[in-house]
Amino acid sequence: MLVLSRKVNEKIKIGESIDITIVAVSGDTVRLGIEAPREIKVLRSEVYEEIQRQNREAATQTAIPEAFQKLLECKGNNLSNHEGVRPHEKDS
Amino acid sequence: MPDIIHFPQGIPGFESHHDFQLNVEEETHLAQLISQDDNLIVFVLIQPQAFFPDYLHTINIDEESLEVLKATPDSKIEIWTILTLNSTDVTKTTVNLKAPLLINPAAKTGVQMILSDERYLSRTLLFEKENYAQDIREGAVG
Repeated sequence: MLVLSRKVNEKIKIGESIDITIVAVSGDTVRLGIEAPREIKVLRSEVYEEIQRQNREAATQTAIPEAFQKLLECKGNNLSNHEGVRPHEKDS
Repeated sequence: MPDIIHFPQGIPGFESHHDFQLNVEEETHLAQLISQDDNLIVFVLIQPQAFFPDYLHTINIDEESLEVLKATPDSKIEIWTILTLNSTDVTKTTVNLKAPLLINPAAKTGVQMILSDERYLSRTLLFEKENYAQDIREGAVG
């Protein structure tokens, strides 16, 4: 891993199109400004990791459990109303 | 005949899985997404608008995702969200509103887009209202 020291307001350039600016340092928090083309996705790593974890958990279920199917059936009315007025809104 | 949807980038956590069979169950707004590389990898999807009418009325799809989807200005992009079922208590089922699946039916392409909007959580309870949940619990048992 390449490790660089930078001061506030100094920049790092990655390739032709990505610039990272050290905006502020306060305690153990560093604020970065990132300029990158729109097609480059910039994400906090933990967000991507959270989605990975969530997907792995979600994908371990091999079928729609019967109970879940059942509850959707018994809630069929509520589901089919999503494009119109919801019944409970009329009461209020 | 179910569609095979191609995910050029895979799905986070399953980056090497690129082709998934999409089985839509129209009446329940549910679908199953089954990996063609390993049919034990199955996602349960739901059309989020059925439960969250205000979810993503307008969506800004980033350019990379549009390219992955082979989307054109006329493309009609479908939005699905992944459910995490709770096997002991169905009312604790959560839905990932943070990272919806976008599918372009015309090109049979898909991508999971991670939203930067902090309001959307990867673990949103599907049944948020307590009395509603109660109602379902009774229905599911009976």
